[in-house]
Amino acid sequence: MAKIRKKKSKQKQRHGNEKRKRFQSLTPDAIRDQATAFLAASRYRDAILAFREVLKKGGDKDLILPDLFRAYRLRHGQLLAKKMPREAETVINLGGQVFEALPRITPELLEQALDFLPVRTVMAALKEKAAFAVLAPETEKRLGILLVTEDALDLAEDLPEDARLRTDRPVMAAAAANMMAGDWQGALHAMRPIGRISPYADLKTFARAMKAWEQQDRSTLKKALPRLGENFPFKGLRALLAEYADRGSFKSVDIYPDTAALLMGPGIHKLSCRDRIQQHMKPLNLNGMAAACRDFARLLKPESPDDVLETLAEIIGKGINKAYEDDPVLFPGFLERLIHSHAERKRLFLKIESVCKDFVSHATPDYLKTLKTEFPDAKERGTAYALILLKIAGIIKQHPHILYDYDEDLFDILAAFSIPDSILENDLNLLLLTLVRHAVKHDPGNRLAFDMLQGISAPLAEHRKVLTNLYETMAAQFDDDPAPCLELARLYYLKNAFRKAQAILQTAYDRAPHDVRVKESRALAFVISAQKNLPKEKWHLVDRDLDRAAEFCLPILSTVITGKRLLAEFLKTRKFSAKTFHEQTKGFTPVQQMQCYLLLQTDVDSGDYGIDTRGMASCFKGLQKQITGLSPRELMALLSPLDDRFTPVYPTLFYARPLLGTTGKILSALPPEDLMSLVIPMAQNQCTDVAIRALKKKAKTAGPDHRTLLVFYQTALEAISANIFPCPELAALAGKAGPDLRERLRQISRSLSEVAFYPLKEAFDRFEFDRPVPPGYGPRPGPGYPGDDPLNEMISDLYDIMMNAMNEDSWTDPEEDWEEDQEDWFYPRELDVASIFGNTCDPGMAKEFIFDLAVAADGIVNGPADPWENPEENFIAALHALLDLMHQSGIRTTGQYREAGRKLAAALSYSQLVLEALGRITSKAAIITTPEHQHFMLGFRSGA
Amino acid sequence: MTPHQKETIVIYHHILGVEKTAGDREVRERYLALIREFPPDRHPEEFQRITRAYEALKDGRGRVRARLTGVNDFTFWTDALDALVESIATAPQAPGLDRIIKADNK
Repeated sequence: MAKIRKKKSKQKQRHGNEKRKRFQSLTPDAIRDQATAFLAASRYRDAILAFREVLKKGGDKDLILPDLFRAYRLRHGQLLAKKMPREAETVINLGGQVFEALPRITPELLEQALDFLPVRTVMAALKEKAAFAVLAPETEKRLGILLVTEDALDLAEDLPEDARLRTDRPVMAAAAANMMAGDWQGALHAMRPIGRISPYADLKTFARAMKAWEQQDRSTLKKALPRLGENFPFKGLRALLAEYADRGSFKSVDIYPDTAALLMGPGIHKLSCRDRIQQHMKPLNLNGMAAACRDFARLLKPESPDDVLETLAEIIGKGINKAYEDDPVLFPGFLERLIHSHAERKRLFLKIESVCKDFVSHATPDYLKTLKTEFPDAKERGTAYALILLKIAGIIKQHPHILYDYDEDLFDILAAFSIPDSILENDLNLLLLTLVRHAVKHDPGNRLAFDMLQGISAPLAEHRKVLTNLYETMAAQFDDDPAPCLELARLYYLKNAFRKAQAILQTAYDRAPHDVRVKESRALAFVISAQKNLPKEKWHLVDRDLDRAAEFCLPILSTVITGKRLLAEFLKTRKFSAKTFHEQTKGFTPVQQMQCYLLLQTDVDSGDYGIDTRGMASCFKGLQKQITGLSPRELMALLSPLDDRFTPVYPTLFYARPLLGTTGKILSALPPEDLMSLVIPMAQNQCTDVAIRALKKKAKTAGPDHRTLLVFYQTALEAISANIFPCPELAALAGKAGPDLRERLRQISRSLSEVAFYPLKEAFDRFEFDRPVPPGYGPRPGPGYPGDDPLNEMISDLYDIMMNAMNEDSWTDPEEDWEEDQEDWFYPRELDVASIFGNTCDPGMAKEFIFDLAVAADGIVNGPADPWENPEENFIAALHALLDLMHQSGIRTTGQYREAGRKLAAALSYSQLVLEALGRITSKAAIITTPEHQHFMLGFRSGA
Repeated sequence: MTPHQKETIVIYHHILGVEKTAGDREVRERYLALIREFPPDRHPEEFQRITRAYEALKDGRGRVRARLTGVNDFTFWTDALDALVESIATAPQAPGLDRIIKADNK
């Protein structure tokens, strides 16, 4: 660049010299004519050269200097227009020298001088030549403005004593200070003595305009602006203010950006910056986007734009990833253009990848390493760890299929958090609880962690143990919050720890005595206590507890308490009495009466009490007659199951079962949405047939969207009751649905997995009904799976696959004598060990172990060669020896194990034999002890 | 924060005008200064915005959350961008003559 500039400068010099040489041969008059021609042709630089040449040749100064001065002025304007301020500055100096050398200053020349020379230069020349007489009133006005704006009011003292510029100077000196400070009101006040004919009058008008702007007084502004003279400076400011006065907003922001920012703050350009960023998103222009972001950051925080850049990178990163579907190149490319520091760029990239994606990211382990720098404070870092763990838990909760896919990233993430990956062998709920437990370990006071617990079900004792620990921590951590106490009470009741539950409920009551949920739980605790004493026939204790529960006056519990009172009454006589029933429930509405009856019947049907039920059926029929024509809302109140807090009080929460009968006729009055909300409780309470019938009936009259949902429910229930899989009808329904409806179907599918069994359960979780579920893929979340050990299932599946393969292609000949040729058959002579296990693996040892494995497999499948041999034990030993050898050879990740398994199976001619042996083995758990082993076997299966 | 709310915690630092690494005291001082500047009777919306930002950032946990996962707090990136735009003040200002001259010379 510097070289080019030097070259250009030399070219210019040569050009000037050539011109000067050309002038040498001309007379001064000829050169002057040429100079005048140059001026007319806007070739001011050539004109200046020519005029100077004339002066050198002794031309008449009186004639030449004014022309030369004019040429300088015009050249100055030309350079400014070309945006060459440094060159223009030089021209000002040279022009100033010419102005001082002028033999006579005319009004016209003075006007020109004021256009571009500093007021001090002009005043010095005027003083030297005693030319103040040339000052016309208009010129005086210009001079007055310049004296103030160029901070040269002191020069006014050089003017004649009677000049207004001099007499008004003290007033203006005070006003100028105010104007410089932006105190326009003060300035206006100071300029009160300035009259209309004063050369400073325009400044007073300007101060008035600025004050009007400050006060957003458009009418004053409208009056003031036209009064400013033609020559008043600040063209941009005046234009913007005039626009504001006319329309209340600026139009020429882009023409006068600096002035606009001055009037409205830098935020005036925010919309154009925002628009630029948005324009560059589609089609994506990374350079333009980065430039717009930088401008935006400078606008927002001129002192530290990098701070804003980070926020912008996060926002736009998310936008790019969404718009371009996680294209792996675009976002790093954008960051490269936006952030200079490599380390910062990397950190931001890892952050966005880790925390913004809706799936577990391979970047998370690396991002965790950067947290130490980002959050040097240990407590803050703990919070960050907890938030990331909760984010992962949230993703898994939302997409449980991650577990089935055995995502390798998940293994790496767990390792980064020092969580043993064996938790992946557990079910979904336990995995989620473990993640939350680790989050709480990092940040005990994190409420988000406890919020996460809300959606996690705890069907097994081991779940409840973790959950109890977590809620105990929460109860200690948030010592004014009753919520964890209520949850703990629920868990204690499930464990039959009644005293502990009572105590913790008392704590909850102490913490929030007016909380309705606390009151309900406390009252319910008394009902539970009464319930416990019912079989013991301690009537005084039952009555006392039920009275205490009733003292809370909770409508939600009134039917429950009355039901229990009635139960106690009937227990005393061992006989149901319709009369007593009606007496006790006479204050109730028909719906409440029915509810009370149904709750009583639930207790009686449990078979724990031995009550004579004669008369109950007729009582029920009588009540049924009373509740005809109920509104859907009332019906729902009757049919909805009790919430799970009532688990210790009733054997089933779906107490309205008798109301459905065998036909479920009552359900026809319900709108589709209400009916669908009852499907899961009905399926859980052996009412699947009734539900299917009701759904079928409702689907006939429902609208198209509801019909799809109803048919989906109906088909799903049919599939569940017959355990049909795959289920192409469900797949077809899901396939036909639009995006919104599909999402709804996905939610329904997830809820239906609660009542389904493997493999349908997995299909509902995955929302895939026509694809066979891969065998052995991951743990089975939730209860309801046949078999306790997923490993067993996996091996069984492998066995099934192998058996199918055997049926298709018989690879064994029972007549053949295997023993004789065993070594020839099983020793893998041709095996390329290096290509399977790597160069560092001892090929001899690998082949030996594979040979042992094959012999043992043969022993398992076809019976051992020697009766004292234990082929199973040999098989396990050989497999473990092989896996250890692989580990020593540098095979470490689950992916490497899987690949090695696949290659080995493909290379061996007897892979199927090994698989069959695996299927027949009894002590299966001893074979696969880590996920790596499992991956090896999965790879082996696919290779076979 | 619900999805329809356009304001997101990712920009709360900018609303308060504090560094991301600011501590409890700095955040509080800045908050008090801002609510003095934007009292609720004269600038109710601005006051609410400032208070929301302060509530989110007043403790270390909230600040970590804003820094770490604040970017997940919005559904559409344009909403977050708009929120950031909104955090820039555009109140009319009365510049001094010296600044006017400087801008004019540019």
